[in-house]
Amino acid sequence: METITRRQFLRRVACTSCTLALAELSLPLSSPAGKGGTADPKGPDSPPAEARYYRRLPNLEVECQLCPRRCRVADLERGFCGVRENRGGTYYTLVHSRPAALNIDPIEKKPFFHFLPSTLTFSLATAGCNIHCKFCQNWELSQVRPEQISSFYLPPAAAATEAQRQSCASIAYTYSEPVVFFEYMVDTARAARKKGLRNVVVTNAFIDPEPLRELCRQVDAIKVDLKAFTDKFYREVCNGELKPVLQSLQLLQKHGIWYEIVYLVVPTLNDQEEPIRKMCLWIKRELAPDVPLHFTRFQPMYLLKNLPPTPIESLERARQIALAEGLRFVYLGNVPGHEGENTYCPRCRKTLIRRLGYTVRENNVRKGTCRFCGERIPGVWG
Amino acid sequence: MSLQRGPALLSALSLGLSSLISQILLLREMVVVAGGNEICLGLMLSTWLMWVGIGSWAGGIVASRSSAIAIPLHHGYGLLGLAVPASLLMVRSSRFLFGVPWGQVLPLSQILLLSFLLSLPLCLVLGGLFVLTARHFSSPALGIAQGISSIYLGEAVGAFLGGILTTLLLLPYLSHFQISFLLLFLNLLVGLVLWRRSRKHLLASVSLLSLLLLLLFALRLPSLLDRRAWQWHWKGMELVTTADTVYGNLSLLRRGGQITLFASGLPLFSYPDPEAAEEAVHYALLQHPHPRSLLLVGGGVGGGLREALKYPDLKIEYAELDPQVISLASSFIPSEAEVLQSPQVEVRPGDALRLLRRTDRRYDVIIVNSPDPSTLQLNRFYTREFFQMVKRRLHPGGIFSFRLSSSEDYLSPERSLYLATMRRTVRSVFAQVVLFPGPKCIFFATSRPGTLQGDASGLIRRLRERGLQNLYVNSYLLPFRLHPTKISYLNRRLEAEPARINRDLEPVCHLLESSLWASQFGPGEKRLVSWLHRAPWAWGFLLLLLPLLLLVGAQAVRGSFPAGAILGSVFAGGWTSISLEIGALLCLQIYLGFVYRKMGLLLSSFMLGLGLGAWWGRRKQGSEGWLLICQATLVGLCLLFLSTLSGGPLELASASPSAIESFLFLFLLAVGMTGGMQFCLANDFFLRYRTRSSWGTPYAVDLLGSALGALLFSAFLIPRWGIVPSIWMLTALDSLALIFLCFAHGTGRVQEDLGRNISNSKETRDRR
Repeated sequence: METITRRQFLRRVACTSCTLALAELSLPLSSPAGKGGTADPKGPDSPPAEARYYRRLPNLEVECQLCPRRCRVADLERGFCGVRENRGGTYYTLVHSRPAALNIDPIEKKPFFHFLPSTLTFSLATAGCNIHCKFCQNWELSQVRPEQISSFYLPPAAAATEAQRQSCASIAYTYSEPVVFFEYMVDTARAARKKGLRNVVVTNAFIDPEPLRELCRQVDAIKVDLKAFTDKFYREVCNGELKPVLQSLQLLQKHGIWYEIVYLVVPTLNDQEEPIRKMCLWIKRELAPDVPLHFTRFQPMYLLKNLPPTPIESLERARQIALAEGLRFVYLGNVPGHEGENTYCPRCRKTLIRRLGYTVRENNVRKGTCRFCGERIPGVWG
Repeated sequence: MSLQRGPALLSALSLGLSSLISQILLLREMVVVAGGNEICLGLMLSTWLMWVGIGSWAGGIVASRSSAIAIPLHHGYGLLGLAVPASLLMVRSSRFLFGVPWGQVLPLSQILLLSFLLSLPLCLVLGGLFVLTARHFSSPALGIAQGISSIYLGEAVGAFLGGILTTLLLLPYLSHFQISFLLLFLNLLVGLVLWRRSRKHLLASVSLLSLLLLLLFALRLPSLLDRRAWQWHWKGMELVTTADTVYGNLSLLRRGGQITLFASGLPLFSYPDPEAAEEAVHYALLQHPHPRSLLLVGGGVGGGLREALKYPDLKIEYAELDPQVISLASSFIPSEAEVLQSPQVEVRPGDALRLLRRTDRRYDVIIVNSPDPSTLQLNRFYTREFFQMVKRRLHPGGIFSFRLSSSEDYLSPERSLYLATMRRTVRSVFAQVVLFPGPKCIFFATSRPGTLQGDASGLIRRLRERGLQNLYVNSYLLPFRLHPTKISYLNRRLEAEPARINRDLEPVCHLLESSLWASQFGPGEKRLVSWLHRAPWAWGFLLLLLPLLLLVGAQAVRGSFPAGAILGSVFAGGWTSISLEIGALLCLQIYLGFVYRKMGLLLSSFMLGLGLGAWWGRRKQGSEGWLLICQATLVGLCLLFLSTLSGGPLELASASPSAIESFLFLFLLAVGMTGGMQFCLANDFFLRYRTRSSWGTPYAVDLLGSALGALLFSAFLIPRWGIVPSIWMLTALDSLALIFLCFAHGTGRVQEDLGRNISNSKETRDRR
């Protein structure tokens, strides 16, 4: 059994930290380009990149075909996301190579529990989002326009180089909504692959099928935030729609890319048993029982401050429902130390991966199989 | 006339009682809706006065055009009674009215809209009834001006009684709905008295009404309505109990085996929530090499004390601003009641600010575990003045710590400025300051440089040495929480921001927190707030002085500069009185923190002053010199307030809270007296040479000035420049009004104009 002792763990963390701290001293990208929120002085003064997935309309209008919102954008206007602009009938992305947040995170933070466990991922995000969740934990990034925040200048190749230099196994497109910086994400993913790095996406899956297919070809794993299983919640709390998200999930299943689902349990709004049960049945029927499902804990923030944090009992109940309905890998998130953080073998029931928060304490998966009984464990393990 | 005196007095008293009591109730409800933010007090008062002004203007028109005002009058009192519980229902169902999902905080625009709508029915009726009642009871011999003054006096006395009654008798024992039903009864009674055909009918009606009220209370209808309205407010959660305390509203809610205490609508703590509890105390205790004594300010019963008790040798003093928090937690969370019994724990209920001032003890660690400074009440724990007190109470090398909301992955310019302001404030007091990043940014400060650990390694070593078994603050998670890249990113972002210092009377952090709050709701509100931050002085003076200049100028163009000067004086008087009233309320909150309970006393002292001033003004009517004296007194009162604020009332408040309460009480009494007298004198001057359609004009101008004053003082001047510069601006406004009056007086044109107008009106009457 490959058990990581506390001493080993600390040594690894210390080494990684030192490497990163030293590397950071020489990183031009690690300081915000726009000090105090001013324009970026470090990037080239070049025009923004042309967007993909749009069509031109009469009168210099364009229709964005990236997400189901299908914004019809007049000249010099922007779409709902605020990061794509029509300039004379050509649609541009304003955030290509302009991430505003860069971090090195454990892959478990995304969370990915069946994808290269205990590796580090180079996280990047730009401004903007194509929905508006009232509980967004990154609202200061996702609900603003690019010019309202300070950003870095980091072209795709440089991002891949930095991720490699930081000893990261992957690049994660995360925090805000990667769909709105689709072009930057895809270009960076290509550059990362050339350097042997993987790519993971943390998304709301509110995206049109065609761009999603392209994305699946360029990245290695996708984590989908399924906000709720009712259209009412999507409309009232997220300003989105449920149906396109479910279609995206079906497409991911069909494509065969690795994906995991996260369901943030918000007290009184989406914690009712019946919709959760229906969701689990749908996942089992339309996707697969092997899809990892994470129930994560809500903390009152952004606009939903008149609510308590999610009771652990509610999370446990949701997990029980999912297990009872036949899903095989069901987790609790944001509850370190809870047994629901661990991966159990569906056949022999033994603990495969023991976690504490973002750390892996014990890993018994060998070449994608259970070390004890040989059961195949779905995921990307190496 | 003697037959009229009883009903007139009853009507005026009822108006005053209803006005002030319903104002207190709705202000308290709005504070809860706005998450405790005191800016809503000014907004609410502003819209309140505006609608009362419009109501009085409309009432003036009705009174001048119709001789049959008895019917609208007694119907009006019935409506007034019904409007109070209806307004309470409206505020509790505000989320439903605006289509806001349960659990969502209301945006600034909707809070403004709510205060606008909430006071509409009630205040229109109040304003209209004021003029109609004055018209109804004024005698032909003395005229409408005398009637208005009499009702003004009676209303002021009623308001004073209402404030005292509410604060001392009603609020400690009755719910808001119960109080509103008493008001309903009172106003129906007045309506009946005015409607009466005979004494026999009146007695029968009053008896029936009393029986009905008793029946309602016996059936506990108001209590049930109150509880149902709260349940509606907290839809989806089990309301265990709710309590209105000295400091605000506390609601204890249960869902899924977890209990959450909400203070003024925002979660204070949840139980069980080991993550929050561990983070609250362990980081600070780990920063100290050998902690022996701890002062924990807030959050002890949410699990913080339990975590601190993992240190067997630690003596813990626990101070909670609101003692009801401890008693509620003890009653409904038995395990926390046990913790309070530990011999290591000493509970010190009451304001930590006063505790720190009075105690001789010193501590190794002081932790403030309070929510962010989103209100002035909370901002008191994050100011330079508070930090200086903390420093005096720490042992050499002692650690002070608190936490503020932040973001783990990205810091926006607004968030960075907010954190940078706090860091600069702490640095202005302590020699070494260290910040840890995360969803909550943790601040550590000490007077001895080199004491604080800046990264995870030192804390992990101490965790091991102390054998602490934590779920969250442990050696596995600390390296991620305190990753060097995150620490360096945080420090760099904060260095880039030009920060000010957060002080009691210049609550910069409270403003920045409000700015962050506003920026949540969209670019429009964000732009408005960011403009507010940068507004130049000229804008402040322009917004303050322009209405006065326009008012006086408009009258001067019509050839009556003295009338303009008089109206200008009324306008400035209304503006100043309400601004000083708000200023006093905010000072009470800043120094003592309990405006929620005591606002009634301050409002009533102001109203008593208005009454006394009106009474005195009636005796001096026709004396232009007294009008000048009143205006000059307002300037003097502004200067007195300024000198008191610069004289360090914090010292006074810490030594004796009642001293500052008494000062504010007497100060508002004086403000009210001056304002009341000024209004009576100006009203008399103005109405002597104006037509009947102008009956409501001075009252409306007074209310317009008050409404604008309340709005701009609380939502613009104070947030932009702080309390002291705002009062300097008020002084400028009053001085200008005084100059206009002096000019009109110096040219002798007031008396001349008056004489001419009076003789003109006599000639007109004679011709008719």
